[in-house]
Amino acid sequence: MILRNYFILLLYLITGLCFFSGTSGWTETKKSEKEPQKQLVLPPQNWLDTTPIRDTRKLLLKRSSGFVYRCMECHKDFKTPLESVNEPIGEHQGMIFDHGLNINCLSCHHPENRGVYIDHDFREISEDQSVYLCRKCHGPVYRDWEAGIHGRMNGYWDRSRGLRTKLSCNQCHDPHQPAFKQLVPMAPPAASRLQRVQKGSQHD
Amino acid sequence: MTEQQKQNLNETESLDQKTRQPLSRRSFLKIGAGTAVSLTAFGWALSPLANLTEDISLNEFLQQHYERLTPEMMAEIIARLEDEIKHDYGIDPSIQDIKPLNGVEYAYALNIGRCIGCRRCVYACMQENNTSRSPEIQYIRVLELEKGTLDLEKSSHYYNHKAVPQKDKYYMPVQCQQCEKAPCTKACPVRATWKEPDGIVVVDYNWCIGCRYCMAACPYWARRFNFTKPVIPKEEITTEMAYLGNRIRPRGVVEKCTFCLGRTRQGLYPACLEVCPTGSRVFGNVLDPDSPINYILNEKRVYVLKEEAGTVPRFYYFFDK
Ligand code: HEC
Ligand code: HEC
Ligand code: HEC
Ligand code: HEC
Repeated sequence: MILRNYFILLLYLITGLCFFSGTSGWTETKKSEKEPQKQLVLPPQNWLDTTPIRDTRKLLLKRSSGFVYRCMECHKDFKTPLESVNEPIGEHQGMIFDHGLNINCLSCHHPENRGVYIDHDFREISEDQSVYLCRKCHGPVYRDWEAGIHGRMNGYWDRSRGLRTKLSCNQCHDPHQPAFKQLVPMAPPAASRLQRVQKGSQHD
Repeated sequence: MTEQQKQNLNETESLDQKTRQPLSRRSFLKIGAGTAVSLTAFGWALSPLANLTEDISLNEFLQQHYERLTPEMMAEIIARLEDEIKHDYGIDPSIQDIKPLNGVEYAYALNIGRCIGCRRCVYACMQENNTSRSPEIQYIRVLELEKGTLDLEKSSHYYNHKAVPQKDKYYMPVQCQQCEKAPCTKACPVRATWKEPDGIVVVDYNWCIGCRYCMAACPYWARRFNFTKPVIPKEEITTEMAYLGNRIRPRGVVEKCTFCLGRTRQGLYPACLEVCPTGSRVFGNVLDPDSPINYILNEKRVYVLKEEAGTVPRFYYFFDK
């Protein structure tokens, strides 16, 4: 008699299991790998605001009127004085200059050709290769930048799939006052009232 | 054989015969009735499901575990989810089940000497991952710490200055560390969260029962719970969604940072990295010896958060000097 009862119980269980096997079976079946590699949809590339914090003007002078002119349009007439003043003078009065111990305009700007930069060996560095200018004095940081760990990367980490782009030094540092500028932070998290009361230590 | 033994044998035989007897009608009826009762009881137990149209459909309830889903089942589930999101949020999403890449294990590194605490990453993350805006769910917390200390207990992530960085402060964003020995996955009673071959700890939001054991197990406070149905303005929804990633979560499940797997498994960078104005964040494949990540591990002073917890994070903090 007892046995028969067990049998009934067992049947209960089996019917239950049959029903549930769809949801709770733990047999380790291998995921089917034959799934054809379908064309995946890439997330939009442009919605994230990846604008660098600084717009490089390159070696262009922009007047408030919007009038743009090149260095040599004036400097072909000015001979570089033997004793360079190293001050934002003349046309460049409004400029703020603060680059640490690097106080020499002409350690960056070419004395004869103001439209380019100058390298260690007095060779010209063209204006769109300003990273080589910075490399001249900031070797370790430049090496990091080249390795992809100073400054920002955008695009693809997987270079077999697409381009990886780097920001140049100028797009983050103003060469004349290179310390990274302070930014306005975005709003703090909306805390629950309880959390806001106990300011100070909020580590949960 | 002794008499006693023989008798014993006989007894067992007769017992066997008894059980092997064909079922009598009476016992058959009994069983039949029992089954019927059990089925009705079962149906009754399931009946609340019929009313759960908004939160969970019967199909969803009967869904299999992620590992056992065939591509056809997945396609069906995705179609259903897309419908639901379309119905609820009025947008046209495209959900994909993106698989890990072969020969790739991700790692993330963050230069604490550079981070200025501007929180751009926090908001890019919310946008990419479709997290609820109200109540607010953020995966990244940017801790502000006194320079020279490493006392997380004295840190704050509610700082609200006019400009950052503040003098004598430094900043440390904390998000899911994608631990190699993730305590959260062990805490899950239903295996709704696990570590993928590329190192990312994921949650199947359809499988999660919302018990929040994983949240208690995480030493980094990296997991978030959806107390309500996520509220996101229609125009802010990222429509390209990943099944294990940034699809809009249902109510009552746990979610977390997945290194933006919908992006990174297609070769892109995580959203938090893409917007960082300081370039403090570095992401890549540790298995690739030429990746920037390996450069950091070889050249820089690296440390991991709460090393003593033994979680072996995939998220490294490093210094320049
Ligand atoms: C509108 C005319 C004008 C233009 C255009 C101009 N400059 Fe000048 N610049 C001057 C004057 C005037 C001085 C001060 C006289 C001098 O020292 O030669 C000066 C001085 C300088 C000096 C300081 C030289 C020293 O003696 O220390 C530098 C460096 C310089 N300019 C660089 C540039 C560069 C680079 C550009 C292009 C982006 C440029 N200038 C464009 C007018 C100009
Ligand atoms: C660290 C190297 C460096 C030094 C030192 C330096 N410059 Fe420049 N300068 C640059 C670079 C790089 C640019 C291009 C700016 C850009 O890309 O936005 C530039 C641009 C300029 C410009 C044109 C654009 C602008 O911002 O107005 C002028 C004028 C100029 N420099 C003048 C000077 C003068 C005058 C001095 C000395 C007081 C000086 N620079 C010192 C690197 C330097
Ligand atoms: C002629 C050498 C020289 C060149 C070229 C040069 N720098 Fe510098 N830089 C210096 C020196 C010197 C310092 C000051 C270091 C210090 O004070 O400890 C400095 C400091 C800096 C700092 C730190 C500033 C701070 O206050 O923390 C930054 C950032 C920087 N440079 C960026 C650049 C960039 C970007 C370029 C290329 C446009 C560049 N430098 C080109 C010599 C140079
Ligand atoms: C994505 C923006 C970004 C780019 C691109 C970038 N930097 Fe920086 N750099 C920073 C930040 C942020 C700091 C930290 C500033 C701080 O702590 O105030 C920094 C610091 C520095 C310093 C100060 C020294 C140090 O190690 O803290 C130097 C020098 C420097 N950068 C040079 C360069 C040079 C050279 C390049 C180009 C090869 C470059 N940077 C590109 C963002 C950038």
